[in-house]
Amino acid sequence: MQAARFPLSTGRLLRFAGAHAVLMLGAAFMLLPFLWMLLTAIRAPDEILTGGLNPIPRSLHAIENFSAALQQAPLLRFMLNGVIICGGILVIQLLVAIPAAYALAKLRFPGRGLLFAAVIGGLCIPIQVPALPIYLALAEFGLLDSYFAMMVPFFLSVFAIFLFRQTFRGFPDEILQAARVDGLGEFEILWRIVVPSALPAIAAFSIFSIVAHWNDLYWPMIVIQRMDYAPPPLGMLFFANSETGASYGVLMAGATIITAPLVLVFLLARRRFVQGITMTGIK
Amino acid sequence: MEHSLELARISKAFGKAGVLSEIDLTVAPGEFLSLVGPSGCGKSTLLRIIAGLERQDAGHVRIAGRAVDGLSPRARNIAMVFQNYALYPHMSAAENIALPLMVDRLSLAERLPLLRYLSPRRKRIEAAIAGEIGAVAGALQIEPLLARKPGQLSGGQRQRVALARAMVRKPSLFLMDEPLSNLDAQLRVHMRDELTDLHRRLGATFVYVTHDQIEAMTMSTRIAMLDGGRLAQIGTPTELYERPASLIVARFIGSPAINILPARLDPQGHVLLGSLPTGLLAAEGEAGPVSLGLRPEHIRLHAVCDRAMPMATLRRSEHHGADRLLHLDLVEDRQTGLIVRIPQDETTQYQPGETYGIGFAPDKAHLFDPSGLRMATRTLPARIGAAA
Repeated sequence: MQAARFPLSTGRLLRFAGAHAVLMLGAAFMLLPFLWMLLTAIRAPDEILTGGLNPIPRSLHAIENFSAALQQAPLLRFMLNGVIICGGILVIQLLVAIPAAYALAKLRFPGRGLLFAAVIGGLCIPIQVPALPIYLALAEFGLLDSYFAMMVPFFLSVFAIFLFRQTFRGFPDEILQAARVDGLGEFEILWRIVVPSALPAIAAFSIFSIVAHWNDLYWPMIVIQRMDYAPPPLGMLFFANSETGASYGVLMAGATIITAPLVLVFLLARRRFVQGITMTGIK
Repeated sequence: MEHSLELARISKAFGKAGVLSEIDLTVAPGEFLSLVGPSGCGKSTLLRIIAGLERQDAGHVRIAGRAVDGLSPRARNIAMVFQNYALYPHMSAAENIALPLMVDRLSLAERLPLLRYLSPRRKRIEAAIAGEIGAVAGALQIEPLLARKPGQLSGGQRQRVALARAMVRKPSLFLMDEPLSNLDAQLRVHMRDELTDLHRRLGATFVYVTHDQIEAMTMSTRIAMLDGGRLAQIGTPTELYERPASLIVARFIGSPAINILPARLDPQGHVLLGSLPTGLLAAEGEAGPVSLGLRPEHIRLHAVCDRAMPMATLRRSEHHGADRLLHLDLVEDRQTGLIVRIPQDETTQYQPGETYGIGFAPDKAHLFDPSGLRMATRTLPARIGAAA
């Protein structure tokens, strides 16, 4: 009777436990650096290098570390830069990619297949490839050391075009036809009818985009010299070099502060994000 | 009087596959015209060409006397109801119904978020629209549903909202693309009734696409049957039923389907079933094989068989309320089945396994040549081998 009510046989139980053990190991592997960052941020300076792998701090030094980080480095400035850059990139990416994806998904015109192939091809090209020509062009026009220089290579996201095109393809044609009979133009159909039902995909892409550009170090390091414009990771780099030296506790407190907004954004949009990348929820 | 809709030599191909060829059609004001045909016959494409959602390769469309070939769907002053309702999923029923009027009466700027609050006349127009929505919703009895989103409505309710969205513009032409095919059987019969009623009340012109011949027969003033992209026949339901122009029309219209028996013309033009004369004479045509069409209700079974007539064995008898359908197999040709419709009170005399003589009135029979076209017939003055 007991077995019938609780149908997990020993074999299934073992498989279940095994799968979870592997997943937990993976999660621990991913989270350990963050945990260590947090632990370092609340330790006293002398304990960081001498404490070994003992996870529990002997004395709490959190307030000192965090206030030092906030005072010594313009962290809020870096974060404001990050918001401006991520916001600017995201808005333009959406404004460009959504109409492009709609055209590729739902409009019939000559060359559509070729353009879509070009989008797929574009997915294979990393930023490092066009970095030099873009840098030269920005230098030519005197645009280095500006927000624009940090944002411009990312205005067109082929990943966004691809993702939205796949989402829009599932949208029923009949509704588009009904909207045309009702007199809506293609742009109005797109923004009023199609986009509201693609919100999960848009939320998912927004998280990808924000995380990527908030954390980006490579491109800002190339085009930015002045600390005023530095986004968070570049700011941390300047900060580590100049002010703190080997003061890892303060450094990790700073890192914690600039990582926190991302974690918050993800937690807020988590459900939509999962919906979006599993591409359901349309119909 | 001007025609509500005129199609002149409409042709359309997708790639190399021809979908429609040279369709000519006129619809008078106030008509309920059904476009019927098997799936893939081009009826939905034709409807989309009328709506302006699809461009024809050749030919012209005129709506209410006006050439509309280059015009957008909106400029054609039509409304369309779709098979899957095609309601805007994130808008309430009221917003769905209001949308076509908003587009007609407000400028693009007045429809934009935020910017629209700057317009001084927007409030007045929106109030007028709300009044009209109320009137249409009242006519279709959907007032309690206006605040709901399409996801919270049943199939029948969604279809009513879609109808309301079509009616609210007061278009010159209603186009309907299989609007009832997603409803369950009972609701479909009910909505058929409502649509016919609506057509009468509005006095508007309807063009209605369906693959269901019963819908076409019960609702239309005229039926146009398409087959393989061509117009097979156009006429009233009675004309299509009583004088089908081809085998294809005869088979499509009528339920249960018409019985088609292989027959033969002798050199004098007599129609023979097996070797037996039927009393039917072809007005013209060469000797050789032909097809004889008999509606199930026009066949009479004879228990006592003292005359020369084809014989068939009763296989099964089905109860259909007032009627009973008898399924028989021809004795001479076991491959050919036969369905006969008999009033319920006459059925006790027929027993499965028994063999009966097949009789019919020659003037009720349809004759088709080997290419499937209707042949003109006469009946012989003295009936041979058949009984009424």
